[in-house]
Amino acid sequence: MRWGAMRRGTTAAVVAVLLGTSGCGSSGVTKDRLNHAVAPTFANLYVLQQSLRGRKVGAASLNSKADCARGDAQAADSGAGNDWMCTVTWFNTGPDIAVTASYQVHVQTNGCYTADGDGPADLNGQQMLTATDGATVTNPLWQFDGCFDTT
Amino acid sequence: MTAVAERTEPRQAARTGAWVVYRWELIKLTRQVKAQVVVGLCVLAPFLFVAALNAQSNVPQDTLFGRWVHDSGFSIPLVVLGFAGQWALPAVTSVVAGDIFACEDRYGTWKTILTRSCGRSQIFTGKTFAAITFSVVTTVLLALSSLAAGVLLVGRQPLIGLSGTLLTPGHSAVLVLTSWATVLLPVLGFTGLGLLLSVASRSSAVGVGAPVVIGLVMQLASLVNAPSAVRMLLLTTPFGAWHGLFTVRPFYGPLVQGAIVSLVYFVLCVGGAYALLRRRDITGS
Repeated sequence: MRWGAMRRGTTAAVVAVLLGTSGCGSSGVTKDRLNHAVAPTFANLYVLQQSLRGRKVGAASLNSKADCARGDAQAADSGAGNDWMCTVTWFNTGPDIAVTASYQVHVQTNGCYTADGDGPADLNGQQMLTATDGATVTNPLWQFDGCFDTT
Repeated sequence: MTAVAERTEPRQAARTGAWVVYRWELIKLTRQVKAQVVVGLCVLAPFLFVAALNAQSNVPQDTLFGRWVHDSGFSIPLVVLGFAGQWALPAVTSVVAGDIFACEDRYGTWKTILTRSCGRSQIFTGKTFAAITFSVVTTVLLALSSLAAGVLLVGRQPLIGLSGTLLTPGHSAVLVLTSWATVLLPVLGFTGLGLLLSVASRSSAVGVGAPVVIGLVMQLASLVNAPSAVRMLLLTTPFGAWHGLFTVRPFYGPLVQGAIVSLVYFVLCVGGAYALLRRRDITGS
């Protein structure tokens, strides 16, 4: 009897906690967090891709920025989903010339995302690229993964 | 003086009793075919996995680091870790934990072992530590084997982290082993769950099968966008808490949360199993 009562009590307590916290417990995936994760990751991978193509650039000098939003204009720009679109802007040759690239992004509830290149084609359209030494290697910018803190 | 001596003596006997049970359970485990099969799989499976990957050009893109399985050997243990956390580790740990108490019901041997010189708490302690030992050993074996498979069959190339930077081979190896170490806690949580179900259901099928099913249901709940508070309380979430180690500015929030949740599961399950076993009427059954 005592066990049954205790078990019911525990269940009730757990349910109460869940109901109490689930109302305000919105998902930790936000536009800001995604922007701040995608921009530097893209910059680092761009440096890597350019070095494979025989060109030296520094990640900091790119001054990359990301602007991410969910595909559905009505929906709020937060939460996990595969309809995120990110536009990355960076400065390539001089401070005045901005270049952009698009990515379709699938964000998971745990804060990990997969960005799939959506143009320009010579940047992120091909899975493989030919390095300066002639080897065929994975294009770092074709698709990339990253994670950010949602806690 | 005599009072002190009298008091310490049974306590020492209890400790030796639990130690004897523990040693005996480990000897039994090394003779069990299913335990041998699981250990063998933990050692061999990563090598077969890499051999299968090397035979084709496709990559498991859906898993973190899956894109780099041909480019760096250090991605292999991380891809294996991603798969293992979903169902393999809960299954591996409950093969022993879910059966270690229920097998005494199956063979009807409770009366025999309890009428020997061991008490219930000694048997519980010994069996629990044997199940924990098995879980830790299999997890460590799977970690080392998948790291070895990656390094030997793919190579020691630098790994691209989750912020797009290259991680040196040494740094990658340290991070891989740390990541595997962090899943020991949720593995122990599932060990506790297996022990509890083993005692409560008195059936090996439930003890071994139910933790895997519970793990899959929890996995499903986190996939369908459950509220973050619910996801935080799931025992499967800590299996992915290592992701934060691979960014340029590592974050440890999920690891701390996961550790607390795993420990709470472990303590509640093992405590519940102990209470149930203490109260069970064995002579009447």
